[in-house]
Amino acid sequence: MASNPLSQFEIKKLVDIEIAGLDFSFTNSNLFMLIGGSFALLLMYLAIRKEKMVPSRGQVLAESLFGVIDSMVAQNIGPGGKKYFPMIFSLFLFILSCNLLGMIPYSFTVTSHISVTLALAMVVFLLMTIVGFINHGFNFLSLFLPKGTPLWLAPLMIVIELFAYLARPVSLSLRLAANMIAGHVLLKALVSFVVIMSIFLKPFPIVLIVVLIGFEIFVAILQAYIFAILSCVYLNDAVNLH
Amino acid sequence: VKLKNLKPKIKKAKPFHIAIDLLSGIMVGFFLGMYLDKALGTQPLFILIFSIIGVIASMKNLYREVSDG
Repeated sequence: MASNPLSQFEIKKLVDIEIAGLDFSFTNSNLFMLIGGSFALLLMYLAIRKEKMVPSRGQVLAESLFGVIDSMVAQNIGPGGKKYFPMIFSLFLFILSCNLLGMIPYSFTVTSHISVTLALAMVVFLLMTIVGFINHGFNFLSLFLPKGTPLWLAPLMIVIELFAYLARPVSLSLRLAANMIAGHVLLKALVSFVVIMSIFLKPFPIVLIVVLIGFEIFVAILQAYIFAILSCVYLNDAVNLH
Repeated sequence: VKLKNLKPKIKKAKPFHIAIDLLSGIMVGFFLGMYLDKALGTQPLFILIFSIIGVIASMKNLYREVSDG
């Protein structure tokens, strides 16, 4: 049995694929991303397949998820944000299903890898940059100069604002990945306590683990929500320049 | 916003979010500086300057997040 708490995040190659000297291997990370994405799609498809006036349980779940993200987009972006709803909703569903999939024993937490979360954050970052330039042209660059800045301070402020802008995708991805890593490492460390401790002390970590698993499921949902709401807040800057 | 009004808002924000916000600005500054140094061959210059700017930028990000409420 692996006792290293970080061994659960190891990437293993399931199918070796190499094209033109580049490594395109199908790893366990790919497998669980595929499962997570198809789970989200399947959930939505099965829930909405038979629409009824009195909704079934699945339909209630799908509709309330839809409603949460819909009101979030409407509150944070405003009327101009309706066309970004599909992207925010699919990001939310993908991250939510990947996070929850990671809570199943022997599975792999995709969102604990910064390479995955940074890719998701870069999608949001590139979208908000492109949307900003399309909507406002070069006026979008006024985002980097706050109103009422003295002229002698302007060069420094532009550099600082540029760095603050570039730090957004990093903080967005680090937040999700660090939360998932922290929770899973903590659980693994507590499980190893159970193995090490004397028989009389064994119940205490077990009780703690049960509580923490509940907390981790809460964190998994909360982090998906936070990722979605921060994408909305960042998109708001690009859509409504101020 | 006065500092006195800011304190309860900082308490309401998640401590983890504050830590990540502080870290990300420094990371951006450090890595940009490192790549620029490698390209230009001016070893410690840009790492130092950009890290300091990164600290200021992360403080600004943090202030914006906290003061919005």
